[in-house]
Amino acid sequence: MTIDEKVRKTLAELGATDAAGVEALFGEVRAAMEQERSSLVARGASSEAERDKLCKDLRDRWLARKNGLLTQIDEHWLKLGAKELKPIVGRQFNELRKASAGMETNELAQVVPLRKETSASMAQLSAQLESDVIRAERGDVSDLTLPGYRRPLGSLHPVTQMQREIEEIFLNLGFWIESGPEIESVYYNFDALNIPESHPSRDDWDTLYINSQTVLRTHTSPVQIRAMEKYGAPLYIIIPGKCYRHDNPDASHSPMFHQVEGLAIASDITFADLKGTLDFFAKKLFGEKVQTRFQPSFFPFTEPSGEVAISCIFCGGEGCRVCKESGWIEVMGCGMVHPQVLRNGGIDPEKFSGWAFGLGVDRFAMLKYDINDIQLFFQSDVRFLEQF
Amino acid sequence: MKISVNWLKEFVDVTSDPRQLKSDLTMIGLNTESCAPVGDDWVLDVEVTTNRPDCLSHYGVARELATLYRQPLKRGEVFLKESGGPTSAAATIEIADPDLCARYCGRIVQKVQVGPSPDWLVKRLEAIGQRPINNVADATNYVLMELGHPLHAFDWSRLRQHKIIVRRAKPGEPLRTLDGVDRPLTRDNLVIADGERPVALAGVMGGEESEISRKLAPFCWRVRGSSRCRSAARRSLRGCTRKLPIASSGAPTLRWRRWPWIASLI
Repeated sequence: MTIDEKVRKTLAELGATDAAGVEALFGEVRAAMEQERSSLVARGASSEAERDKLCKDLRDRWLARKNGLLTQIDEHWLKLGAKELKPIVGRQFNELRKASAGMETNELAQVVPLRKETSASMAQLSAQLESDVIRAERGDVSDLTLPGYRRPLGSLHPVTQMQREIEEIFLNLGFWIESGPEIESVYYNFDALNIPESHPSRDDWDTLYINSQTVLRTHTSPVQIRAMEKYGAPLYIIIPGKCYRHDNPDASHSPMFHQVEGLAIASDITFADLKGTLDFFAKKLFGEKVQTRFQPSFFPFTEPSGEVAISCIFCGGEGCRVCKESGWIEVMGCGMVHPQVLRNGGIDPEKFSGWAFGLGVDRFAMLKYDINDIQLFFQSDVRFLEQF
Repeated sequence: MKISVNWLKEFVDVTSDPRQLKSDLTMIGLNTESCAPVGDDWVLDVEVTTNRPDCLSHYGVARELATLYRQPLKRGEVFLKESGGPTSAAATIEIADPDLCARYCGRIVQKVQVGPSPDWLVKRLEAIGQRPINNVADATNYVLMELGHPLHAFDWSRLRQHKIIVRRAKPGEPLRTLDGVDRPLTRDNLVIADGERPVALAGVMGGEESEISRKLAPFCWRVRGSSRCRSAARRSLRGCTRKLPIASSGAPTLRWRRWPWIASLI
């Protein structure tokens, strides 16, 4: 039985005697409505006149006051339905009516595309194309005016772009880029960085353990040790890479995120060098007017340790929501490499000194592009990504 | 850690306004995230990094400020009224595993009615986000917040043989902690035991059985101390807190208890 026939029978005749039966019937109607709508959209129209006619016809079929399908449903299912079913039928009918808003002529007209070729003429064209191809294969001339294949252009991920900007600044200063494994040993991730098992600072990182001796690295710092072992001093490197923490994802946390570590070791590196380099870096990234501020902090692998804040790039230091009215935004941690860490890397702290920093690339990208949710970076939504 | 400015002023003269205080503390390494008025007081939310356990108390922060502002650090006056016989006659303390605990002290307080704490104490605790329980528990909490030294109160009458033995647990020994959870113990756990069985997880959480109850009872304070931060002790304590999951609501003072105490600082 077609939908047209069904809407002209009563619920009793159709065997719908309970809520489930009614819901099933309405489901069929909604499916039919959707299917007819999509068919029209797929078909297209070859002219505005044809489009308007097709839309109006479809609309009238469903929504015409006198004989439209909805009117029939109202007559046969609602008015003539069993009393106990009336509330369910009424609810379902209202849902249907709401859904049918998309069947109004002007709504349909907006989505029905104008195609030079309707499906009828498409069949003709593809037959023509087939014979063209055959002719071309035989050596006959093919249609040189047919457009070539076009591929959509992609772009770099905003986090990648941010990472490259950062890399660029340091490459220009003479640093080179090192990387290390994302699956790291507890030794390189903690012990070699002066974070012993028995010290509470071990708990400052919510670590993802693979087994008792292997972790997903919680920071890019382990590569400091690896690089020291590999190259010794002097050393000027940055280390970009992915890091992992057992964080519940929210607007400012993601279990996977990106960091860039920086390390400079030579015979005469001082805290002044650290401040100077980071101030230079901040100005290159955020503009000459931006100011940096250093405040004392603590990391087991640097001594002394600091946190760097930049003058708020949104309000210029006046105070706003982003900088929590303080005029400053905390952006990264840094410090002088702890002598024990140098020793662990095979470098004599009596002969050499160094500075190190670590920053979150995602956080920097969020600041630079004014994005307030880190999770947007990792959802692979092209509508977001294509904006960069 | 939340710090009350009025409380701080008991130990050091602070003349700067709270916002200046917030900035000053931040610039000496105690990053202060917020300062908010609470009644006639101001409360600062100070981030104490793991290298500064000495600042996990009002006295500790006051010490820093005294140095910064070049003001004298005032020690609170102690009024101690002793009576009755020596504590050692009513209870004994033995340390069976001195590598895990170098010092353990206790005192007995008698004839105390367990009940709600006085208003001034409740106000101070609540201002810094601590939950008042009863006068005895609150007193231990107050001392912790003031001096940074964790205390525990036992019901003396429930300490069998009136003995306290600081020792490693025997595997399989039973202990139900204050939060009602039965803890499986191993030789790696240091416990406070009485003459018969464990009554507390040393440095972590007290047992349910010897908990102070709402009745008139003499009870024993205990103070756990270590004259040096011994690795073995630290490892044991950390291993303990990691393997035995303790909900932070069940042990709000766990953070303080992670540090084997440097008693000489007070």
